[in-house]
Amino acid sequence: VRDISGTEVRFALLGSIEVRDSTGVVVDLGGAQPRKVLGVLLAADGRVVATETLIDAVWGESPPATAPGTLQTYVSRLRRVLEPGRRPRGTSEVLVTEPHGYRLVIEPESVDVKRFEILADAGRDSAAEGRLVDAATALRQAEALWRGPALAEHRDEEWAQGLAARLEERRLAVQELRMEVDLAMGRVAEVAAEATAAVRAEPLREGRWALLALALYRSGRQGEALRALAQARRTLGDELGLEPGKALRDLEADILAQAPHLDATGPAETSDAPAPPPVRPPAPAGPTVVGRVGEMESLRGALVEARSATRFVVVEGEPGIGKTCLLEAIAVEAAAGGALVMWGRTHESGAAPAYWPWLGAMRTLVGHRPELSDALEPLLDPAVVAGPVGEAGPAGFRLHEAVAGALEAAAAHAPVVVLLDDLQWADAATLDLITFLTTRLVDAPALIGVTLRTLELGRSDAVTTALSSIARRPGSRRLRLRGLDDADAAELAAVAAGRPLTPAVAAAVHARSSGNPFFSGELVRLLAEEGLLDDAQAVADAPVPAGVGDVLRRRLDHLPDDTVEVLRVAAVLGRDIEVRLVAAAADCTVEECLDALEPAVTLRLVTDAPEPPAFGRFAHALVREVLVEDMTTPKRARLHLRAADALLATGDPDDAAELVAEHLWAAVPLGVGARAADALERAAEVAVRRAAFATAEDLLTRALTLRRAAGNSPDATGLELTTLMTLTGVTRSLHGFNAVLPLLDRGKELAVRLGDDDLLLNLDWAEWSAAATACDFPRADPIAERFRTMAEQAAPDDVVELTLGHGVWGIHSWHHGRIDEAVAHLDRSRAAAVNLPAAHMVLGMVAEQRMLTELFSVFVHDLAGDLDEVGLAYERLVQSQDDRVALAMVAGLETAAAMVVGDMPRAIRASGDGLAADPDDAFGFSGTLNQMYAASAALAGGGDPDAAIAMFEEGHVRYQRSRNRTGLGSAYATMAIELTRAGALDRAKGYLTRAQDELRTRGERWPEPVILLAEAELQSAEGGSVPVIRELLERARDVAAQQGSHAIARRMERALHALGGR
Amino acid sequence: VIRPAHLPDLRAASSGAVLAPDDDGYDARRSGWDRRIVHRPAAIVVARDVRDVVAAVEHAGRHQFDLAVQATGHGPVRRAGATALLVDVSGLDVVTVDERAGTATVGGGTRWTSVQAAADRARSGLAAIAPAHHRVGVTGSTLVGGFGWLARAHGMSRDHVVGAELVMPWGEIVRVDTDHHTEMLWALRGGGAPAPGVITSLTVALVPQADVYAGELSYPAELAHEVLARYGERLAEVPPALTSAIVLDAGPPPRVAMRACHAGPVAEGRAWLDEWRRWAEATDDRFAVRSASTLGGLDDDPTDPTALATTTAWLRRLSDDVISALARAVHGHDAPARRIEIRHVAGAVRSGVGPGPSDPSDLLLRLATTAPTLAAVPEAERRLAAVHAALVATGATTSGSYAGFSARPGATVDRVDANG
Repeated sequence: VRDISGTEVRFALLGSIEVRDSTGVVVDLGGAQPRKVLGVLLAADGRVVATETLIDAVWGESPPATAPGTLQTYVSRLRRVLEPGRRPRGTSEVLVTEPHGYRLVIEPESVDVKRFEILADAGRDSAAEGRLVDAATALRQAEALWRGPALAEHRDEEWAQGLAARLEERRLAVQELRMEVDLAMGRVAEVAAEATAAVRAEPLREGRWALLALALYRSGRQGEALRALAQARRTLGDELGLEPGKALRDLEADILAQAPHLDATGPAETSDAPAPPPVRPPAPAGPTVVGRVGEMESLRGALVEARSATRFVVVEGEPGIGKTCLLEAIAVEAAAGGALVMWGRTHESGAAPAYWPWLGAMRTLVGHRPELSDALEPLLDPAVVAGPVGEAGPAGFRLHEAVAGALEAAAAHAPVVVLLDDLQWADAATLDLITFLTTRLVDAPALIGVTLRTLELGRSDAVTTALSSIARRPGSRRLRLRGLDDADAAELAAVAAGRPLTPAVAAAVHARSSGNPFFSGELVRLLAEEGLLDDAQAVADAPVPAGVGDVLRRRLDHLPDDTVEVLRVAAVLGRDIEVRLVAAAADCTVEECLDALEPAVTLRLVTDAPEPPAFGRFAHALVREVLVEDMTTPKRARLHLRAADALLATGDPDDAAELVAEHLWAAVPLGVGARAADALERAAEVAVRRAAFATAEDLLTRALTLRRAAGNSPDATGLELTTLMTLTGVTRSLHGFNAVLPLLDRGKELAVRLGDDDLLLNLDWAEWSAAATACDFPRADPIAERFRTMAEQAAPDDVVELTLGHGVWGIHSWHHGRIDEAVAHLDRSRAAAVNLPAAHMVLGMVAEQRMLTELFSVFVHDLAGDLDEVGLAYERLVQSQDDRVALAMVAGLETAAAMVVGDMPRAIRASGDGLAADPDDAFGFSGTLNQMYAASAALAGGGDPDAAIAMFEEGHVRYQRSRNRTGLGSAYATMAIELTRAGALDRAKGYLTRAQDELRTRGERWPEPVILLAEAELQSAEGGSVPVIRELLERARDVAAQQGSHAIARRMERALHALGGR
Repeated sequence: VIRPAHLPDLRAASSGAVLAPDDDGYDARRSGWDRRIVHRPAAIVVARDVRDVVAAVEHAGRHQFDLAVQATGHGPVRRAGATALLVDVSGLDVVTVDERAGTATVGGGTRWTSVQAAADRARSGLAAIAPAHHRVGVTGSTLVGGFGWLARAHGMSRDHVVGAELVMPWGEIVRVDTDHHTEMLWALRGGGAPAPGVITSLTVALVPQADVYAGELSYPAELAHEVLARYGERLAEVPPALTSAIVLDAGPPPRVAMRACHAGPVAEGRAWLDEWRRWAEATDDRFAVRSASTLGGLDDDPTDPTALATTTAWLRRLSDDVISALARAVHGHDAPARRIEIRHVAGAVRSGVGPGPSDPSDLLLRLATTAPTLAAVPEAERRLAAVHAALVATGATTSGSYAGFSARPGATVDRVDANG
């Protein structure tokens, strides 16, 4: 303890009145009365105290006549004690006689009150300056001076009342300030404990309620924090009839909103005082894990390995077996080791918003590493998608890449631990992301753990795919939790009961629960509640429910009706209980809601939420499931409707969109179809922004069902059509052009009914592009004709019609091998497109045609052989496209062109560009076409025929899966040519046959010259007769020239020239 | 047309029994392991030595009977009808081990178990390169290849044939070895031609082989996807001396198992296994250091005569769609297959020893199910074919099948003709 003044404390008022001599020994003041006299003099703090005042203090209102004399005696006695070295009858220099009374002349600092005030002031000043350690030291010293209530036994006497009250107030303030300082220094657990006692001692001091709530909040005990504030509100109301002050009300709102400033810690320590022992929050207590020694060892092994490489862990088992508990335990150890732990929890209300668990985990990440928020924007705050929806693959890829990059960036500082709970309820997008990360994250120090309920046998879906991709990872671990053995189960039951159980009871519990920790815990609680816990015979005889669900039902029966009602509402909303939301849905105040939930917390059916803004969570998913299952369907529908309304009133609009949609969908039987359809569309829009196309497709398909059911009124038709068009866009992104054809017929029907010509045009274009891509020319060609007519009749300034019409006809002409015509029309389309307004993005059609026009015009010019600088033309295209799909497409077209005109170095280079643009085979159309050409390019570069064939066929399977056909003839033919050159004649023959069949059955003519060339090359390699070969080459040349593919024609000339040398 | 069998002549020429359809023992001898093949020959000659085979061959030639041979009934066999004489060579089961030359000479009716026992008795540290099942006959399994648990370390059974004794269709006994009738030796080692006569004995080279680390890890069937995915991912890292397979078993209990045999240093095999053990706890772990002669017990395929439907395919990769199709085929609702085995054969097929399986793919897949009755076999086969078609649709299969794995009548019989 630092001594501020160098003076020792001799006079003490903070407690009973004491005086010490110079050696520190408490001296005898000669009885209660002299002590009181000294007290009065000390309380005067150096001022003169009138004799009457002293007499009043000692004897009260009616003093005896002897009082003045007796007072003199007391004073003398005191003087002897205070000045032991004073000469008898010498002048007193301490207890000085004044004209009308007495005065104590002592150093102020020798009185503990003064010392306390000096320390308190110093502590306050240090705290204000942010010197927390100094502040804490001074304040603690100040508090240490107190031995009991100030002036102890005298504190209610008139002379002492004022001082005692002032000192007590000051003491309380010092204590609160010191707790505040401690809290700022991160001692949340100590402060939480201390503040709990402090509010009990002084329940009306709002400051300590605030401290308690804040300490709880910072300890991650938000639910308790809110309950503390609710209790403060009740106490203040009951005792004082007052509402809490603004500070408490603000704090409550901030906690509900999880305001960032609540987490702010105090300013950095600047004191140069000797450093105190390092302030370290005690290791947070992990969950109680009983048994599981091998499993914990395995997880620790993974954690150690995860310091230098990414590791994946799967924990699987039946509900209640302790999966989450195990991960929580390892999370505590990881955090203690400096790792950044983030949890993602699947939504358990039956709705599965896209990326839900990842949103939670990534928000935690951004909370710790705000600099990553930009990188994670595509996930957390996706921008509004303008214009056409891109291909699903690349958009999802961008988002997945963003998450992977953020995890890597965070892992560069400290290992990251991502824990995803209850994977069995995960949405498809979440699973895709996991699958992606298993190949993407290799060396980043990261541990990714998931829990899931035991799979059903024979199951095969996105969950098993994600698990399989984890299993492929080296070093991953797969834990299957089974029931605990007798000994462990007995220990666990004792923990649940809070005391040891008799072996017979423990054995009965174990037998009933098969060692399932949650089941046995619930069973023990039920037995305790019903007073059966100590009676093995009763346990054996009692009709104890056989299943955990029935145990939970019986425990719920012990709750008040209000509580169960609120729990049902909460259950419909999900596992986490957000009080504001639940209150809104249950149509009660937050206060009432908290009160209603209290008994469920007491019975431990609801526990604290692991993260804000939730108040608590159902202790187990099974609790929620039992509550939901036991409701009638109409009741559930009504609650879903209220849940939707509550979400709309309180939630984040983006995050809530899919939840609202799911709740309204569940409420459709109540006649809210139109609202549900709106919500589904809104949710789909959010899903598309997050590139969760599969989710969007599901949402829109359901919305469409509701729209159709709404009838045939013009309004309903318009709404249905809008939904349908959105779905068309999403479906095409997801499955390619051809998947939308079934939707288009219905679309046209609706557009005709509405008389919407623009829309019909859009639908025509969609149908044409789908049919042409599939080489379904009987279907595509009549539509293309209509577009040509439109272009011919268009006004010179109607750039939309000119772009579309000439563009469609240009590409149509190319399919049919009229390259010169294609060049002419695509040139006109491009000329018109230059003048398109940038914002003209009507349903994406015009924008898409503009891109196709730009790409195809270069491509057909390349075939025509009239580009001055071929490389430059493609280079300009690359410059103008910032989308990787477009880049892949540019590369694919250049590869195809270079391949058919016989420019192999360029083909090899361009094919490399194409593969580089789509390293993960994510792009449906352009990516797979590239892959097929890349196989030929690989052969041309001296590659192995078997490997090339495998590559080609893999791309081929994927290409055809989306029913694409265009370009196949040329792909087969180039493959045949390169295989021939590689000497694999049998294989080459197969590809040539496929190319010829393709030409004959589909009628896509532009590859015809190359197919003839392939035949000629094969004949030549097989030693065929020169005249036959020459004839084939001449035909190839003539067809190419007639088509206008002059670059191809020149290639044939070169081949003929070479042949002439034979 | 029932031809007279002239059995008295045959009986006079044979030292072993000659059984007519009415005789005791006829029924017991006519059916092999695969119950689809029901022989109804005019007579069965139970050969006791090579001269009995000669007699049967000559008798068949003289009276224009077809000749069918049955040893143990495990190989592909042509059904022997009323126009056939069935020669049962199961009595030709003498095994002679020549330790100095490192060879074993075995009778045409010998099972691998006898060869292993003889090799063990010799205590020479030599092992026979047997197929996975040791209860099958040496001749039949060797002629179709003989893919066993030492295949990736030492090759297939047929790679080790160094000699044979055959009875030619005209009754001549021909002895084949590395110096005599070498063209026939190459044919027997997989030249692709059917054996030109009845094989009455084979001489196979033995290989020095220390104890192996072999066994099986079982996992619950719910993990089938993950086990297959993990297995497929790791094929490139598999040590060259390790031969392995995955088995999907309908149970009960349904399970997925990884079987392997490591013929190199035990520590190396154990290290490979330990990675699996770290990944997930197996419900059963039977890996142990074993003698190579005990590998026949590594798998638990049915050993009783059975009505089996099978189909095989070569797999290029174990992608998710392939895995789904396979797992469904065994563990799905009303699954068509009782058992699927996926063998890792890359490296097992030696170059220059005649055609092996027709494709260099890594994985050989065999789907099998046992039909309750003979009549149900075609339906079982049809359902397996549907699984096969689904696999082909994934683009992961390649053409070709493996005779030693597929017992489809007609499909592969011609290659081995009468030597089952």
